[in-house]
Amino acid sequence: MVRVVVADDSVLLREGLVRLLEEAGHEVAGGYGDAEALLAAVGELAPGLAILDIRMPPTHRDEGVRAALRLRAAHPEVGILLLSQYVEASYAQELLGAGQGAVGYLLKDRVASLTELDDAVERIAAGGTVLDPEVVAQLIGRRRDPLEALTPRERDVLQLMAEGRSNPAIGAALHIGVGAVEKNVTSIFGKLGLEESGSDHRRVLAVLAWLEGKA
Amino acid sequence: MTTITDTTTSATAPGFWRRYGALWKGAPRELLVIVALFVIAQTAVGIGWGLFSAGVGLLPVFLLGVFVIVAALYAARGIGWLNLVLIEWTGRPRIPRPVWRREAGFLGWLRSMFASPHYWLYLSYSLLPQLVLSIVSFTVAMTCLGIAVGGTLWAFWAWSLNGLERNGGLAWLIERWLGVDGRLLEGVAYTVLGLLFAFLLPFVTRGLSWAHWGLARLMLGSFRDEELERQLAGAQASRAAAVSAEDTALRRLERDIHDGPQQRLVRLQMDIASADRRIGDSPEEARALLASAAEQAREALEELRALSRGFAPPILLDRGLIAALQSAAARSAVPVEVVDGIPAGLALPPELERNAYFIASEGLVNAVKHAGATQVELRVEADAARRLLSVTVRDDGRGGAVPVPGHGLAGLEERVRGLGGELSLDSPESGPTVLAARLPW
Repeated sequence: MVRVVVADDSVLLREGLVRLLEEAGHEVAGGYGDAEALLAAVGELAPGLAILDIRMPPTHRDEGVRAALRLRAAHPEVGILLLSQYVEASYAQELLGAGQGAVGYLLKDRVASLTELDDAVERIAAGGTVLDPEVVAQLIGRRRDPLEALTPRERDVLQLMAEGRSNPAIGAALHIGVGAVEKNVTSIFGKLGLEESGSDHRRVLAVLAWLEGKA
Repeated sequence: MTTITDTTTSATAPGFWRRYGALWKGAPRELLVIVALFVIAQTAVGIGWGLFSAGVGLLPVFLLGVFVIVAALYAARGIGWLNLVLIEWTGRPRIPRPVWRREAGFLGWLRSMFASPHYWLYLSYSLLPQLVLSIVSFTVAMTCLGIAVGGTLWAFWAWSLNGLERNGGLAWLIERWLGVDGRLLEGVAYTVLGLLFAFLLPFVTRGLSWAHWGLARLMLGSFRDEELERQLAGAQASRAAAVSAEDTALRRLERDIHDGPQQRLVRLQMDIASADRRIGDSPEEARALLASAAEQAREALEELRALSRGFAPPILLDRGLIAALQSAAARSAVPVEVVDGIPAGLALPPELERNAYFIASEGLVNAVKHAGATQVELRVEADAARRLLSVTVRDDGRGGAVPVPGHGLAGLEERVRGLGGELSLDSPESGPTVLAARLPW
């Protein structure tokens, strides 16, 4: 069970989200209509995770992203999940650049499914990274040429790795064994010239850094 | 993948020699036109005066005289047109043509000829001012050319004069005054003079060509109110085009919503209703229906997102033009450099940002798709004082781009014109291609 606070200016969506979270067995400590209210409450409520919409009052632009960065600076122990009607790879990069993991960025449609929402909440609360497949697709789209070297299977594995999935989760998604996943991962890291690192989160960062062209 | 450079002031001004070279490039054409205008003016004076005075003389034989004068006016108009074409051919700006009105009926035709100030201006242009100007400019140009060629090449022809200019030439003067042999000094003087005139020649031809342009603008161009009238008509046309384009876009959007998400939501409602009815007696079936409902909802969202992508990327609204361009650059398959020349703190109207974004991204797509570029530069510069935003897309592709009606570039041209701006395309074969739009706000 994770203690969650939610900020979304649409009451309709906020209530739906709260219901789904409670359904999944999490505790919703507070729901807010804008980012400022959430930021003010975090210190007292000490949640494990804050879920933020990106477009919120007063300007309905990128309040959620800016609030997330402030939250990360003030309370690094609180996990962050950004939800939005659209995804923009540069927001994900800002979020990831702000610190060590425990962040997520998903399209709102993904969390309509109870299992997906629950999965994301659990993974972020455990310190992992969760990225929407569309964010990853945007990032992968940028580095077309070097990725030609990968087999289609390796590309699937790369995509799932960048979304923040663990080896067992990747195996389950592709219906292959963990051993096969590991072999693919080793091959990908070899082809892209990356060093393998222990934790899932550091692996995500390495892959993302490469996709951004920084490694 | 993207590099962001901040240059509010451009550092590379073309040097003097580059500009001087460009001046020379125009000189042959200008010389040719000066000669042509001279010849035309001589002929035109004959025709103009001849027909006009004959017409006046024949006025007592009423109708005949009128016709001869009409012929003189038509001839003047033709000659004026020829002059305008020649002057513009040297690269001077286009001179707006007058509006030649023609009323219906025989008398209307005569009235529109005789009452039009333009016909009389054209005639008087040929009768005196252009004659004087063309003689002066021809003489000046030929003198300069003569000294430039003759002086510079002095060493090659001086021998042929040997002894001929003993009394009266420059050498003779030098010998008399300075008491030294003047042959060499004379040669140096001629050569230096020749080089000086050769250096000045393109300035002279350019200046004369501007003088011709000035006179033509004054007497052969349209009047200011005619110009305004025309601009107004143009603005109305472009606004009508914009309105109709918007209309088409709205209609398409309406249809897309109707065919896509709306259908899905209706189906979703049906699925939920059936699930509701069966939930008591057949929970399994109800579950399948709910799964289908969730699928419909997901598809509806997907379609709505695809539709809104057609407007403008959300980041443009969230963070402005530069951030949106950087995002587009990052998504691009080739390296793109975004050069940000918007002064800090300057807020541009959203409408302008949206249009600038579309122009830049269209240019980017063209560069990658059609020009096969491997490096693209997107430059955005805002001039707050002149309220002018310029968007430049430069690529290293194969060049040779031309706007084809109905295609991207022509569409861009229309969009830019609709905004009261201008679009320029410089795309020589084998590149580089530079697409530049200037938008007022």
